[in-house]
Amino acid sequence: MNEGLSRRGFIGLAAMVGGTALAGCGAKGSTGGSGSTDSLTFRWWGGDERNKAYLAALAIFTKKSGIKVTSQYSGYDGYFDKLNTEFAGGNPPDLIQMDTALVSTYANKGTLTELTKFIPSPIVLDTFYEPLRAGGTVKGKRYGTASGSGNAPMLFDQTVVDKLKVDAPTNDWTWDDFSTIAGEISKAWGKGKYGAIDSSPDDSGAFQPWLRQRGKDLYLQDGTLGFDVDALTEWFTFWSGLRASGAVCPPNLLSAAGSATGAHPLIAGQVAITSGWGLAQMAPLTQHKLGIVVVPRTNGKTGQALSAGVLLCIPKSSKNPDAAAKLMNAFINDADVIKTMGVTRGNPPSAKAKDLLLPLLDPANKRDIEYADYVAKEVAKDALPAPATAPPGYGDVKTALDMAAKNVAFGKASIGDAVTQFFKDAKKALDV
Amino acid sequence: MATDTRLDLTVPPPNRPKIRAGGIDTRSRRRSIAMHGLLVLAAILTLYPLAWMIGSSLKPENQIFTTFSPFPTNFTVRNYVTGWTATGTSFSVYLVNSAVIALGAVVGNVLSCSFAAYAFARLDFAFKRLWFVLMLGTLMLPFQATLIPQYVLFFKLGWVNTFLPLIVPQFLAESAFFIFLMVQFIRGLPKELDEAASIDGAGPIRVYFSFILPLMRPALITTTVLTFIWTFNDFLRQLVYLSDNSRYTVPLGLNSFVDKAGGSSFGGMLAMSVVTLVPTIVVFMVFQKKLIEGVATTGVKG
Repeated sequence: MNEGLSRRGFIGLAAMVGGTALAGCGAKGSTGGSGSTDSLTFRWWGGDERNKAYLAALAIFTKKSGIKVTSQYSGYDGYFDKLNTEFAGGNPPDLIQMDTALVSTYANKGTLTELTKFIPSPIVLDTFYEPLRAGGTVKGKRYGTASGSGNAPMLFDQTVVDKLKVDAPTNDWTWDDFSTIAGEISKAWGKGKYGAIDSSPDDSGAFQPWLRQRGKDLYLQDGTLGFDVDALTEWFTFWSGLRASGAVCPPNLLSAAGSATGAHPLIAGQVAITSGWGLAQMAPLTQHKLGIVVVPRTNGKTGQALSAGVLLCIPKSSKNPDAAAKLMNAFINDADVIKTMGVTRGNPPSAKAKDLLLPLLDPANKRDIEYADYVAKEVAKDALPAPATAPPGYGDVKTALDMAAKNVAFGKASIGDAVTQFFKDAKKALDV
Repeated sequence: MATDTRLDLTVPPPNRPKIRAGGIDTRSRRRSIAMHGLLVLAAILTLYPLAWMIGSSLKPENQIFTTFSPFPTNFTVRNYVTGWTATGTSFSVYLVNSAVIALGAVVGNVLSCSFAAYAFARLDFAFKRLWFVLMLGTLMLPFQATLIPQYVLFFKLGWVNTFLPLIVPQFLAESAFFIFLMVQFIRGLPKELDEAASIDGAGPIRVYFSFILPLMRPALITTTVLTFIWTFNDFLRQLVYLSDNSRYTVPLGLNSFVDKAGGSSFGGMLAMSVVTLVPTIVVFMVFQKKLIEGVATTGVKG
C-alpha cells in the first residue's frame, strides 16, 4: 500500500518549495517605465569607462530633473539579440543606444519613434556641429541623435618621415601629393617598407571621402549605392598604379590592418601612412610620434563624412517618450552631463562640448579632439550634402568592396571583373 | 587445441617460451610508449590555451600580449583584485546569482525529469506514444524558434528581469534531453523488480520512490552535472531575461569586460574567467567518480 509521501519524496517537495522561494527573491522585477513622468529605463552597451561615465551622468540628470533612470548595460555581444527579443515581446527600454550601421534596419521596421515632435523642444539640435545635426536620419526622417563625431583620418609616422627627410603630409595635401610622398618614402626607406598602406578596401576611411570630393557618396538617401562602375574602376586603377610603383604596400600586409594591435603595418614599421584608425587607438601602441591629417583632398574639398558615433533612439513602444527626450537633450546640451561623459562615446559632437572638455583631457585625447574640431569646420566649409545613414545590408556591401579590392591587389581578378562582381554582390545585399 | 603455448601450463617448463614479467613483449611495449607519447603531446596541445589563460591572468596587464611564454616572470595577483570589482558590481554578486540559478535548475531537472521518465518508461496511459514523440520533437526545435514566444509568455506573466524564467521551466520537465536519458536508463532496469514489488503490494508511486529512484543514481548524477555546467555557462537566455546588473550571472558579468569599441581590460577578464572555471571544474571532479561508476556498472544490484 502506498504509505503516503516517503522521506525522499518529502525532501524533494521541500526542495521544490525552497527553490521557488529563492527564485521568488528575485521576483521583484523592475518592469521598465511605470508610465508616470518620474522614471524611465535607459540601455546602452560599453566598456568600463563608458559605463562609469554614464552612471555618473545619469545621477546628475536625476538630481537636476527629478526623473529617475533605471540603467541597464552590458557588452556589445548579445546587445541587439536582447533588444530584438524585447521589441518582439513589446517591452523595450524607453531610451536606447543604437549603432549607426543598424539604425536604418530598425527604423524601416517601424520600431523607433520619429523625433520631429521633440525638436526644438526639449531637444535642441543647434548645439551640434552643423554636419552632425542630420545624424540618425533615415530616408529624410529623424530617428536618433548623434553622440560623437567620427571622421576619416590618416595617420603617418612622424618619426620615420623626419628621419627620411621627406616632406610630411599636411592637411591641405591632395591625392597627387599623396602619391608623391608615399613614393618618396618607399624609395628612401628601403626594401620591404612602403610609403602607405593600400586603402582600396577601406570604404568609410578612404573611399567615401574620395567619392564625396567628386560629388558622389557611398549611399544615397534612398538606400541605393551612390556611385557607379566608372567611379569604382577609377578608384581601383589609382591604387593599382601606386602598387605597381611600390608606393603602397602589397596585399599580404593587409591582413593585419583590420585591428589596432602591434601587428598593424604602421606599428610594425612596414608602412608610414595609414587610413582607418585614429590617434586614440594607434598612439598607445608605438614609441614613434604619429601625425594626423585628413584624407587627401580633391579641388580643396575634404569630402569627410562626419559619423555620428553611437546614436540615442526612442523605441516606439517606449512608455515614457517625453522623459526619454529630456534625457536625450541633457546629453547634448547639459554642461555637467557633457563633462562627465567625457570622450567615452567618441570625439565631442559640438563646439560647446569641445570647449568644456578640452581643459580636462590628456595630450593624446586633446590632439584627437582638436583635430575633430578642425575637421568639423572643414566639413562645414565643404558644404557637401549630408551623407546618408548606412542602409540595411551595408555590412555585406562593405565585405564585397573588401573582397573586390583584395582580388585586384592579389591579381586574382582584373579590375573590370572585380568591379562587375562587386556591383552584383552589392545589389544583392541592398535589395534585401 | 592450445594455440598459444606461451601461457599453456601443461607444457613442461623448458619448452615454454619465456615472457617478461608484466606479460608484454618488446614490440607491444614500444607501441605502448609511442601511444602514450602521442597522447601526452595531444594533452599538452589541448591544455595549452588553459595554461596560457591562467598564466596570463597572473601577469601584469602590459605583459599579457607582449611576452610569449605562458609562465609569468613577474607574478602578480593584481588582475584578480581589480577584476573582481571592475564592472561596478562585485563579482561575488554574479557568482551568487549563477549559483542560485544553477542549483534551482539542477533540483528542478532531477525531480521533474525523473518523474516524467518513470511515467514514460514504466506506466501506461492514453496516447502515451504520441506524447513521447511530441516530447522528443521538442528536442528538434532550435533555440531561435522558441526564444521570442517564450519571452512573450514570461513577459505577460511579469517574470521578466527575475530568475523565474530560468528556474521554473526546469521544475516542469522542460528538458527532453534528460527525460530521454533517464527513460533509456530505466528501460535497462529489469521489469522483474517492479513486478516483485507490486506483488508485495506496492503501488506505482511506492515502486518509484523505493526501487527505481535509488537505482537511477548514475543517471541522476549525470543529469546533475550536465545541468549545472550548462546552466552555469548559459549566456543568451540569461542575457534576454535579466536586465539589472545586480541580477547578472557570471557569463553576463564576463561579457561586460570586453567591449568592441572601448578598451578592454584583458587582465581582469582573464582573471575572472579563471575564477569562473573553478565551480564547474570542482563539480565535475566531485562527481567524476560516480559518473564513471555509473557508466561502468550495469546498474543492477543483487
